[in-house]
Amino acid sequence: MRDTDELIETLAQDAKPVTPLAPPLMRAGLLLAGLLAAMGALVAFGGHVEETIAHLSRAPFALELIGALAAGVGAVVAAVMLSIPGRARAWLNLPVPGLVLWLAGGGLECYRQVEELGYVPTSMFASQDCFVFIMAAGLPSAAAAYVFLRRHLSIDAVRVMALAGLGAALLAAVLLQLVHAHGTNPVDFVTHVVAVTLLMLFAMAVGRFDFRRP
Amino acid sequence: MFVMIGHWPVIEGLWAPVQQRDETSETASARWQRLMRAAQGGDQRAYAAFLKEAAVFVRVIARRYHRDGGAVEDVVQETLLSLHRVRHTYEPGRAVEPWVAAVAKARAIDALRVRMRRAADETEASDGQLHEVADSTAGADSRHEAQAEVAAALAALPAGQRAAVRMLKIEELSLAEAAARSGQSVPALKSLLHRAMLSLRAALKGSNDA
Repeated sequence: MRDTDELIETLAQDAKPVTPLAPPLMRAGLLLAGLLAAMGALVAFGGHVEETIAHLSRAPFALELIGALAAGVGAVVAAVMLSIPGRARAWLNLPVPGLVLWLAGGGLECYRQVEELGYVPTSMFASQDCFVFIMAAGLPSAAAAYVFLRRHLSIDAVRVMALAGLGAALLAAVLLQLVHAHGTNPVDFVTHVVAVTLLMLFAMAVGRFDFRRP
Repeated sequence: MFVMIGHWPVIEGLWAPVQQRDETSETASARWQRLMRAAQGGDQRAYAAFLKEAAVFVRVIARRYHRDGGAVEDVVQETLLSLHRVRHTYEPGRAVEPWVAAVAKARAIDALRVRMRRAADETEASDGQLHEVADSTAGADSRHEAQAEVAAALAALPAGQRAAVRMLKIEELSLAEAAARSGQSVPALKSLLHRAMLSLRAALKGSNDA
């Protein structure tokens, strides 16, 4: 008990003024604005926006793209919200509707490719470029989110970084659709899901490492 | 209206009893919000008052996870250190209790994890281990040689482990004092000390066997 009282005195003597964080929704908006601006710049240089818009007339493709975007944005917002101690766990559910849309849209698009277009898979590694793209675009976004959240990551680091990694990966998947606008075949879609999952797991590992650091 | 009147120095005397009544009738929640706002502004007295009250609240939460009094107090101290580190994350105007409770719960679960990991280990570090380690060098020709072996083994430890041994075993600081001095968490220090003791024991056993 005496130790605790001494600790309180020590901490109080060390109490310098601190600037409270801006409201988390504002900070989430700032982080998203940065990530989306970077995506926009990449699309402006190498994107096929007109083709993508043309493909949006197909409901499965539209569902897949809008779902990935909604889930990515939702995951980033949830990561920022949950990085603040005491925020409702319900924020974890924010990316779920988008994820359902993404998986449903991707599944339907795969079905269309197989049933209507007669797609026959050749190799499970046929879409390795997609994998490399999602990783290459997602890792810097996840790193940016980590830097943005790092200062107050100590409470729920693994969960927060899981959401940040998921958001970064899904936004990278959206970017992929914008720079090579064509339908998603089953191998493509499995590759996308694997890349997103791996990036999320990597982000969780980073969160765990950060959390364990003395 | 009262707030407006309170700013007029002419009737400050009239305002004072109202202020006093307001303070005594202030809810605990509002009081914590006020203290945290002041603490974020660098008010050390308000911060100390808040931490003292928060420690009581945290102790209740810690007891839900730990029965041992020492473990409960470790969680309380670790939570206070965490609150100190993340005090900028409290958003003025919001309730303080969920913020404190979330940190306390996280630290209580961390302590449970550490305890489970330790239980899985074969050896438990205890306060008397440094002496045991020294005693284990009984085969050395003299006490001086034994001390030299311990010193050499200490010097071979990684810097973090060596610092933990120095603070907790040689200088006999409390965990809280060592945590405050080193900027590390209490569980991290315990873990460093535990690993240091295992390394020392292995090193000195090796030198005796040789």
